[in-house]
Amino acid sequence: MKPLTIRFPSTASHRLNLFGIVPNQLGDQALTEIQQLTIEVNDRPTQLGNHCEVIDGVRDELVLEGDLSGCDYVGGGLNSGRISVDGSVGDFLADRMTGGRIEVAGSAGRFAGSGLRGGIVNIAGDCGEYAASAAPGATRGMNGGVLVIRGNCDQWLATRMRRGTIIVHGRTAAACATRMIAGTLALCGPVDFPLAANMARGTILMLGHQVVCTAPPGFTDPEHSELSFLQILINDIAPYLPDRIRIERTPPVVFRALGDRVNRGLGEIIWINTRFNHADTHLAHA
Amino acid sequence: MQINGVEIEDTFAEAFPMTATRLIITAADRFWARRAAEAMTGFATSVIGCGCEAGIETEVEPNKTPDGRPGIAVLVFSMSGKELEKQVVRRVGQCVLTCPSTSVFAGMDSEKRVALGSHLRYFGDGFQTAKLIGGRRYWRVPVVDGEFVAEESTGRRDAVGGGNFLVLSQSLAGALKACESAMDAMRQVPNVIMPFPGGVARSGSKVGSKYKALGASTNDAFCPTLRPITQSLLPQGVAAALEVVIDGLEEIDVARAMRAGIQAACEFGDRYGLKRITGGNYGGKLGKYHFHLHQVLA
Repeated sequence: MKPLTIRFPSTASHRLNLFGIVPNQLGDQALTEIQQLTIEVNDRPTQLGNHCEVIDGVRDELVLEGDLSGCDYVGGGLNSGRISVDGSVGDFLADRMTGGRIEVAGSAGRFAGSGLRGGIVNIAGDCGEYAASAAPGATRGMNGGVLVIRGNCDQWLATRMRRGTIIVHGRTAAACATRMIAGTLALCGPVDFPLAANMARGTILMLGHQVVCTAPPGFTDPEHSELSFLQILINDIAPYLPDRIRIERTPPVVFRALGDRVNRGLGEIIWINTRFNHADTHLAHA
Repeated sequence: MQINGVEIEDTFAEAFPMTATRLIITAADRFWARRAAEAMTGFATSVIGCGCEAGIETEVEPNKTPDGRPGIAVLVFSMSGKELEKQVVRRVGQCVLTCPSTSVFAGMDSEKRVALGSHLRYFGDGFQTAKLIGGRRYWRVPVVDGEFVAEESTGRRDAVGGGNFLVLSQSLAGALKACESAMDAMRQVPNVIMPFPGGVARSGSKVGSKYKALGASTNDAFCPTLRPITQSLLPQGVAAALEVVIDGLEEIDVARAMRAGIQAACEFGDRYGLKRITGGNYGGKLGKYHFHLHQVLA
């Protein structure tokens, strides 16, 4: 049987808040009950059915079709099941999500994954500013789960991120990992500076071929390191890496810088493949 | 019952409940992983005097360890979760953390936990960092050869300790050879360890003592030198008895190891001068697990 599908018109002129429209909330509800669910449009309550077409189907998967670029909080409150978005979404993707999976075929707006606590979010396109960063009024950003951005990522990625894993396939814009508290960033493309200002803890893996082994201000000079834990981390993120990066096994020696020492931080930036790296590297790029 | 002319006595061996955990020790190569495992499981023959019983279970291939390096699986048994944790933290701290290039990981999943990196991390003096990967927390403690990685905790479970059988031979040399054959076979059985030196105890014990402070004392009924003056259980012509002791995660594991060991010991029974295989039967006073030798071998 086909999954439950919600089709949005392509000419939506309002901002819709779709928090709570997730498989785990819809499991035991009839089609009419789903159509009568309350959502917010321009911060005012209304019924879901007034703004979209709901097509019945199995409830453990939800397909969102149409123009969702004006829809915020897509996947908000998801704790199980799967959401597939056939297009781009608005701001605050996956807010307070604790489990399950979201697949976005297009791009995501600002604050994507800011409230992510568990599960997997896969964005095929680009991602706006403040992805996985602390939302306005919050002290911490992303607090668990996996956020995969297959396109480029705008500024302020992972600001005050607390926990979890982010993989960016494309370019990462400036101010990434500012005040990062903990967690893991795997950056597979070019990275713009400044980077990791006031970083406290956490790990940034530089996997991009074109990344030069230069530490940002406040970090120690990159030095050779042998890190046995790295293989555990690589095994964990390997399924989310782009095809062009193939890690058969972790190279025995990598470059590593610690910082931001301005605030006595112990965050680390690890370069696995640079032109300065060990000759016996096992990171192959197609 | 007889196997290759060796009498299998119709009796049972007693064993008792314990609690156990498994650790995976990895290192840059197998040499160092084994050195750490040997040190950690040293002086761990009996809970009576060592606080725990521990031993190397098996080697673990690099593709099956968390960090992709050669590993050794060790099992540690104790009488309570609290004592087990105390022994694990102390032994890993002194014998694994100190050994070059090593890391230590949980080898068992369970709701009941035994602290590992969560206690050892303090050696890092504030420079330690935690990494949550795939739902598991690892502590990275800076040490002078790089980093010591320890998983936050390991699981523990109910287990069986003190499974045993006794090898009675016409000579000490024969008894030793029979036990060596038994050990070769028993080391292939998963989920068990034989905690005594070489897997064998020559100080077979009975429950109690004439001295009130001792809970166990020499099993005079099996001491060849006391045969004329005690109610000896040694058959005529037997000059030496050795006890093989087995700890296992489950009753069936202990039974499998006993079967493998007895069969291997008896394989060349004549050559070793083997007369009889019996069990440490204490009249039901020692423990709730009873391994009937005939049933184990059936």
